Amino acid sequence: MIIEIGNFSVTIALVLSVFGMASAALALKTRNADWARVGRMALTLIFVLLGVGMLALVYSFIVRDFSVLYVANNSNSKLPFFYTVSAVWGGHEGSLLLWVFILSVFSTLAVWIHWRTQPTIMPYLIGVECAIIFGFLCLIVFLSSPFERLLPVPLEGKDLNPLLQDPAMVMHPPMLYMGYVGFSIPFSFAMAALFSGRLGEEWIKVTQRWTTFAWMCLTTGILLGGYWAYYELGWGGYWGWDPVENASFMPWLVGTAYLHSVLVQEKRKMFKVWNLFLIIVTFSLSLIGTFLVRSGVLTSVHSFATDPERGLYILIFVGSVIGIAFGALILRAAKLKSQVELDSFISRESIFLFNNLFFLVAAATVFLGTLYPLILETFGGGKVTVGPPYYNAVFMPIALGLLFLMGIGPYIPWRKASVANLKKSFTIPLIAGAVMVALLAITGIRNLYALTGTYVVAFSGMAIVMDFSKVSQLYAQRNSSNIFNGCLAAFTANQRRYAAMLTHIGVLVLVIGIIASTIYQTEKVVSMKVGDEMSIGDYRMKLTDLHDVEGANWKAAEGVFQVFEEDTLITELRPQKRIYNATQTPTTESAIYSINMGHIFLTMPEVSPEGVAVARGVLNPLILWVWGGGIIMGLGVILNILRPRKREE
Amino acid sequence: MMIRLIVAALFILSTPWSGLAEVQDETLLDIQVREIAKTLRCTVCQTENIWESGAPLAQQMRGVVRDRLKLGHSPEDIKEYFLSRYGDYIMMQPPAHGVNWFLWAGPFILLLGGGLFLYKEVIGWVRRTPASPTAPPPPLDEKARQRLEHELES
Repeated sequence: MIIEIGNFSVTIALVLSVFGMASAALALKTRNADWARVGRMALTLIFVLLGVGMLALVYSFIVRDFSVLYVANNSNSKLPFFYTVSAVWGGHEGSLLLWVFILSVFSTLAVWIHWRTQPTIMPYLIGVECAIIFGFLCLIVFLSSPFERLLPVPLEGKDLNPLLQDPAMVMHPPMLYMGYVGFSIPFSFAMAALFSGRLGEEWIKVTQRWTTFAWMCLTTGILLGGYWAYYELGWGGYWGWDPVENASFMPWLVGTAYLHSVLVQEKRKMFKVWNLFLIIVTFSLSLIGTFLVRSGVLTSVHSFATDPERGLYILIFVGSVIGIAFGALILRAAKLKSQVELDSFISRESIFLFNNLFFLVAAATVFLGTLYPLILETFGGGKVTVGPPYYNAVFMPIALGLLFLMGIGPYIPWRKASVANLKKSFTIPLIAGAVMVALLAITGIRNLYALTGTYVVAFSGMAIVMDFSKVSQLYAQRNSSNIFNGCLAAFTANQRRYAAMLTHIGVLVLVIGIIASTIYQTEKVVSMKVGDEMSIGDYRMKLTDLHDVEGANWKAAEGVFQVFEEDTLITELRPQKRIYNATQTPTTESAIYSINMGHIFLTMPEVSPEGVAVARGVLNPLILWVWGGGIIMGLGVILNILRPRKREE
Repeated sequence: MMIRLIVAALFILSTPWSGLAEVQDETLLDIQVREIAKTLRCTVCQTENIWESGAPLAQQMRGVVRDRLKLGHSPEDIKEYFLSRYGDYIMMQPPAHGVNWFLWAGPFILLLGGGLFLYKEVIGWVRRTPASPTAPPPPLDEKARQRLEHELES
């Protein structure tokens, strides 16, 4: 019964989305604000109805109603409560519902927040958001409903994929979707600007916080995914250039380009077409990312053919969004020709242009690598694999270029930089980079990537530190206070800038973590019996016990390893080889110990009945810097969003 | 008989005391298997190599690599063997020949072409921008800039 209420609510929401679009159109035609109010009401109701739909699905999972096909496919009577809730977005149908629900939350919020200040934009915003909601709801209601019943009712569900039974995986999809969906707000405002012809800087300023928030969610989502892969997949890495990961990385890359590029328009009123182009591409890639992951196209073109209706619909939907958006952009392009005024090649403006070029080429590389096997197969060129070796060779140089631009961009003034200016800002950072590389070279590090990476990181880091300390000193002098208060004053007075610099520092920390943990990873795989020892790096691991343990819905062999550094016992690690009861799927649960900002990472990929365990030890130096860098980035973004509103806005 | 006893005694002496830990280590073979396994794709997974994959098929394929190494095949032979059975698909990256050049060189051509285009555009814009009296004043030094910013804010 409950599930029918959910189904009914979502269907009504679909009808209301049409209603919303119609009232938005009428509001524009009649110029009567009442119609916009009707549209706002429709959008708010859609949010409530989709909320009811979500709750109905959550309820069915909690009471383990296996008469619902989706529940039966993605849960089990023994599934822990925590994961029964997250199982709602464990499959294709439920995750689409979550996507459109988040969209309704964001668009309702946006309409209510900007209602007073942006009255002329509202009909467009309502119309565009309702159109996207309509597109998704058609897919959900007609082609992939999570509310379908199953007859005869099975006694037991098939269970949620064991790999998804993990705290990070509970949060990963919502975060990612909040990122994707968040970009729909600047996208809608951009569309409003295009349709209405009000092509000033207004829409960019209004949506700046939305964009930043979306970017933060997407970044967090991607990092959570990496963190999950790290300890759940058990191979000791966090990023495998898997098509699914790539699908979320592409909108991130273009979204980051957009985030930077809008600054030029805000400050100099240039590159209007370009910014519209970037936000359209970002949101299109968000849509493509959502569908690529869930449709199974990526594994093979053939899986697309097994479900042709759904595939075809998705293709048409994404195609029309992209088509309409670009069509509007092209039609308006002539009107958008802004007078480009550039005083020098060496200026902040041109650095931003090159920043955009690098981000776009990076995104194009990921796009090409992800879709190349598909394209080749479609045109009968045989099957190939594009894996990490490709990206390491092609993507890394582009990323290094971006890091370098990140180091110089913020310190090159708008309009024109003089030679004296450049010298002053960059002499010390250049030297700092050289000193760091020399230090590393003395300690015996010879890897070219490690050395170049370190150089660029040290250079960029030093540039940030120098700028901030100089400005802080000025503030300290001015207020005749100590340097600490000077720092605080400098930060609060220029919060937008220095919050962004904090995010840049987070990126640098992350990059150091990536360099150290990928290039200097040590790995060893050894077969052991109880009583045996293995050594890895400076550590010894002794298998002292191997026994069976049992969880709510799994059984496992658990090894007890004592870890010694020289002769002192530092910890005990307990990796498991689990078998989940319902699906009989094996998983390897890693055991991790943090030491010196790095990890001792231990898994048992195989355990034989005779009591021989294959133990796999991995040392990941500085891996905590990867997650720490992510946290610093997030902190910077939060400080950016929470900055006090100033006159500039 | 005597010799056998001596051999047996030596054997017992040479084995470590029970209760004393036996240090296990990777053999050269293990390391070779790993190196090769990391370049081969697990055909039932999404872009995972057979070293990192936990799939049973990957385990079998690692076994094949190990057996062939034991038989004295070189890493090149083993690569050829897998290539002949599965085609290019089995390698973790597409070989740089034929149409694949597009994949390998594409990003760099894009970067270079885009860079050149941008350079020309920017230079053109700079040339067309009139150096009128409204052109920016010479950049302020840091101190002045800070003071100015501060004044504007307060």
